[in-house]
Formats: sequence, structure tokens, C-alpha cells
Amino acid sequence: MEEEQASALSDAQLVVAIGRFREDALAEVYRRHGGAIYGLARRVTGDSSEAEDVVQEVILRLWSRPDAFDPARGSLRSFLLAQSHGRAVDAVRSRAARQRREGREVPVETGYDIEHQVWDLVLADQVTKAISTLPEEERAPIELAYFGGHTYREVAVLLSQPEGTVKSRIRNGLRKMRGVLTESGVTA
Amino acid sequence: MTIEDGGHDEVESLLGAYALDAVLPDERKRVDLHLEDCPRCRAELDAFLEVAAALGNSVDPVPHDLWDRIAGQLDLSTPGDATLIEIREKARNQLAGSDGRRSVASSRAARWRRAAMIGVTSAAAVALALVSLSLSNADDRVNQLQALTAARGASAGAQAVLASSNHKLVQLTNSSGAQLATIVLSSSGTGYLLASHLRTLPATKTYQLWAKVNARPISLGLLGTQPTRDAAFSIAGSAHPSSLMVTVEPAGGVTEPNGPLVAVGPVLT
Repeated sequence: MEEEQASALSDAQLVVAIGRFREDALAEVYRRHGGAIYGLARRVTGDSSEAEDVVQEVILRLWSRPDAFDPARGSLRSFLLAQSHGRAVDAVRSRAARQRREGREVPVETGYDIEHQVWDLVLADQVTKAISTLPEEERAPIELAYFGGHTYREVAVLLSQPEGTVKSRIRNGLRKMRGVLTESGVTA
Repeated sequence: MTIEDGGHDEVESLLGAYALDAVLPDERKRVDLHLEDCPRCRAELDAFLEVAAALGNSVDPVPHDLWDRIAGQLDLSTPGDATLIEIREKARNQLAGSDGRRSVASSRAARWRRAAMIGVTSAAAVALALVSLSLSNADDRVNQLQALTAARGASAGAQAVLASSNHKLVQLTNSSGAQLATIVLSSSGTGYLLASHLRTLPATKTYQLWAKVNARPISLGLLGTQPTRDAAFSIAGSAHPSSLMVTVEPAGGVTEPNGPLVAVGPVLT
């Protein structure tokens, strides 16, 4: 059988083709999702070169472990973005640790202007709508954790709130966003 | 119950922060352990991950030469590991040769397509069927790839079996489908543990490996409290086990499996 053009394959089929060592399938995944992986990594690290490293890691990991993607658990884009976010946060935290070791001042969060960045960042109207439905006390910890790369404990300090409160506000906020996104058809 | 003993409520309260990568490494490990056995928490986490991905879903133009740099590393990701590269080349050549299964699958796929043409079933169902066909068709390729990854740093014995033509790969999974161990079995019956995600047991227990032959379990040996890769065992080449399994037994082992079954995997012929 002639191999189908990678561009004609679904995301799930591309991952299967990667399992068969098809480099054109990996290239197609990169073409479809590389920009999103890069965009998120750059937003979190604030550094283009670190973001490029993140893209390389995420794509090479898909090449060596295509089985790590389980189509039953979500879309390929979500899977790759989760990987991108995890690595970007690792990069931010190891940079902060390095700076602490070297006795350098760690840049302090200047309040959080992230709110405005989120509006630039998020393209889909539904997502912006979902965020805007959240009360401030739920939106702030989600943004600080996700875009600022902070742990919930750090968020608790930044917002002067108990850790338990921050944990439950993040969870409640995500639940509400999930409801709005599901209603608008963004997530299943 | 507390997070220390894997308490459900405590883990559940962390799921939102976990989905945002905002938990401490220690907490992440505990959540991961809990998720292996808790489909409810896994489903909630999957939902949160979708939301997080939607939040981070903006597309930036990537630098022009980034793909070239990635492509240049595809075969160089294990510099100096000549054996791995050699095995991978061998697998690639085998794939190029292809086998009968692909043509069978493609003719079945063609039938599905004809069925779609005459409107017997919906386009969505056909798409699903095609995906699942190609997934099953590719299982052995994916397994090979996993084995190649696992082979990195494996013993010479395990690599020799992997390089042999008639070896079989056995993926052992738990009841919720999580892959806990990979074993390679040679045609002469020598086997090696290539990868293990089995949790460490208390000193009073041991993992015990079994082969099912003619519906009867035969002990292949003890894997200890923390199975390490390259653990070797052997089984008579003529035995043709239908599956391998791992149970938890009292330290010292037992003659017949008695303890909980933690992982099982078919030996495909």
C-alpha cells in the first residue's frame, strides 16, 4: 500500500506513523503544533532561546516515546502543550535556583500584569470568555501558577492567602472554566 | 488519611495545581502514584489538562531553522551508543520490508472505505475504524520503538536478545492499562526485564514473575522488592507461554501464585 501523505493523516494517525519511524509524520506534527508549543514555552520562560530548547525536547520526546500519547485521554495539541508547559516551568525554576545559588537577586513579581497578557495570549473567544467568568480570587492564582510558573505555595505567599485556599480556588476555577468551555464546544 | 499515605481527598485537592505544574516534586510523585489506581482522579485531571491547554493555546511563529536542528538530532539523540543505532537501523530495514499484516489491514480498510461510499455507515465511524486498524497494525512497531528506548544502557545479554530475529516483547500492564514492565524473550527462552515502573515493596514482600503455560502458572523467579532492569530468567524454549504475569508474594516466594496480581501481559505469537 502506498503510504498516505502525512498532511492527509489525523493527529492520532500521525502518532502511529511516528511509531513506524516516519520522519515526515514528525515533521507534520511540528508543522501543526510547533507554533503552539513554542508560543506557550516563550510566554512562560520569557526567553526565545529557552523556548526553542523546549520545542526540541517536546518533539524529540514524541519521536522516542510516541506511546506516551494516549488519544483516549485528550487531543495531541493538549498533550504537547502540557509537555511544553512542564518543561518551560522546569526551565524557569532551575533558572531561579541558579540565580539564588549565585547570590543574584531573583526578579520580584511586579504585581501581576499577566491579566493583560492573557488577553493578548488567548486567541479563542471562548477561552477568554471562560476566564472572564471567573471571580478575581480564582483567576489570579490560575494565572500566576500557569503563566508565572509559580507553585501553589508561592502563589499563596504572593497573594497572602492560605495554601489550602489557593489549592481549592485553582481547582474550582478550572472546574468552572471546564464547564464554560464544554458548553461552547472547545473541550469535550 | 493524608497525602503521605496516598489519601484520596488530599490528592484530589491538589489536582488543579498539578494540572498547572504548580505542585512540588514530592507532591507530584504522590499524585502520580495515586493516579495509577484512581480512574476518578485521572478523569478529573484529564479535564483540567484540557482547560490548561486551552489557556496556553496561542501560536507564535517559530524560528526558521528550528525544525532543521530537530531533524538533525533524530538519529543522533544517543551519541556514541552504536548498538542502539544499529538496532534501530535493523528495525527500520525490517519495516521497509514490511509484512503480510499490512496488506491484510489495507484490504480491510479498503472494504471499510467501500462501505462508506455506499453510505452503510457514518464517515466518523469509518475514520475511527481506520485509526484503530492502523493502531493495531502498528502495535509491534510501537513496541519495537519502546524496546529500543528501553534498551538504552541495557546489558549486553538483553541487547543481544533484542537484536535476534525471533525475540518477543511482552508489555505487562495493570488492570487500568498502565504499563508497568517490559520484558524481552528470546526464542530459546532467555528473558530480560527491560524496563520497570513497579513500586518498591516493603522488605517482607517480593515481586514474583510467572509464565502461564497451558493455563498453568510456572514460576520464573523472584524479582525482589524493587525490580531492576536486566533481571534475567529463563524458561524452556518449547514451553510457549501464553502470558507473563507479576504477583506480590511474601519474601522468599511461593510455589503457586497466591498474592495480588499487579501486572500481566500476553506473549503474542
